[in-house]
Amino acid sequence: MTALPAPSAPAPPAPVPAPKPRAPPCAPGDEFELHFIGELEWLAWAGLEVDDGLFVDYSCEAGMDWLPIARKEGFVGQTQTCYADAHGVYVFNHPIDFHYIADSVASWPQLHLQVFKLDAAGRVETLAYGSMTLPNACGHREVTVRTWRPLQRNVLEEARTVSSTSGADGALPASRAEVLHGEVRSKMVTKTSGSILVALDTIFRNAGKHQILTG
Amino acid sequence: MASFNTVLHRTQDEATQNLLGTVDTPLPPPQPPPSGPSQLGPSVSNGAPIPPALEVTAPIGSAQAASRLMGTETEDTKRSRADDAQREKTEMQATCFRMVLNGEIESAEMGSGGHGPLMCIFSMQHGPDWTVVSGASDGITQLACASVPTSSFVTSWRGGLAEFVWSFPLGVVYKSTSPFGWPRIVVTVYGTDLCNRRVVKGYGSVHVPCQPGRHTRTIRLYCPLSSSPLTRLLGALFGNPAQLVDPRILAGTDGREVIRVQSGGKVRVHFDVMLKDTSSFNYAF
Repeated sequence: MTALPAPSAPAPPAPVPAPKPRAPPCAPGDEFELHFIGELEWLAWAGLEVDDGLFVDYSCEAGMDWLPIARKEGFVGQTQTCYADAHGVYVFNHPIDFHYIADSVASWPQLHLQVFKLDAAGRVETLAYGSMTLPNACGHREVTVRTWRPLQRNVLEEARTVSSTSGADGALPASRAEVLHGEVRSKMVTKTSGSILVALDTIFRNAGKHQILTG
Repeated sequence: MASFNTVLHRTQDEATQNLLGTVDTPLPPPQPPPSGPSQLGPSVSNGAPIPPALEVTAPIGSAQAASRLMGTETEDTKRSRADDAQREKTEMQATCFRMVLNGEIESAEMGSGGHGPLMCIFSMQHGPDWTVVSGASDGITQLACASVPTSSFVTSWRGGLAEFVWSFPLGVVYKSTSPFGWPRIVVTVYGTDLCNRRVVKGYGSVHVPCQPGRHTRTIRLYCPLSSSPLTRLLGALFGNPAQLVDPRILAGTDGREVIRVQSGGKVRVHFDVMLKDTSSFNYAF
């Protein structure tokens, strides 16, 4: 008679990935400091209703080795609500002044944008998403951020969203950071939307001491 | 005596290094020659081609050093050396960098919305680390009329855009310890409505470019909107449309999310930016 197999030892728990070590801080006075000074200028989208106002909710996310100086609220914000001019341009003119101390050049800061629509009835709906990586060279750069809008799952829901009769949209499928670069995105079907212009001047400090070459 | 010596040697090394463009291989400090001031500096003796400016500085420096060692220095040279050293010491301890802004508010273009003359009130805003050293950071331009008549029929027929030219000069000097809070210019454009009352035609703001040089920026303007159509109608009727109590908030982010605006109009501004003492902070622009 064969013996019952001995009960196996409980499977060892899955190994927790070791947290990535933080970069060592550098000597005070030698840190690599970055300033991004500019404006979130305008959004061009010619096909929307005249009565719809747009505003952009933005958030600047960087790796854990990046220390944001000044208030944290300065890195997250919402622009004014704007109605289009004669050419379909919505002017936000929102000042950007980010100041980072970077202990590591990995996980360069990214600006996540979410465009909301305020319609004539006062409802707020998410219209589009966009993201850009902040410039990694000094100087003036005007970046056009192309935005996209997730499509609904079937034709009926899509028609309801486009005609904005449902009023229930605006709930995010996931948090904005996950939507913008998480796995959720690989399951989305999206549609091209307007473009946002962000004008930024970048200033580096102590880049030479860290042998950083930006071309 | 020893401190003046080291100050002189360090500044001479830096000056010669900058001239030769070699930061990694510092020249040896000019040794006071034991045989008297007739021997020239080491840069001449090795026979390498040297730029003419270096030819002039090296011999004088070593001759001065030699005369000082030999005790043959006169009172005048001692005093001028002291002044130079004091100036060098102050420069090397620069605690602020400075930004010089020149430029002009050139013109406005209002599209079909401009009737009558426009004027512009501007104000330069900056962060807490910045101080205005000299110059006027606020100003009012003149009232400018466009040369092309602004009625829509005529502009479309003549094919020209109505441009209101102020060409108002800007000139401010700032000093600061940090680029955070870089100065921004806030612009308010006033015009007249149909009944010739002064109303705001648009607000806008842009940051002063951070790179030295001449830059042109186009500020897109916007007008605040009341949230209810009734208030909008009353405002248009009585010449009292929605306007900002303090336009200087447009240079910041506080409270912007409650403002509703209608876009329209542009202002062109030229900036000439110059920076001073930023290299001692290791800033790259």
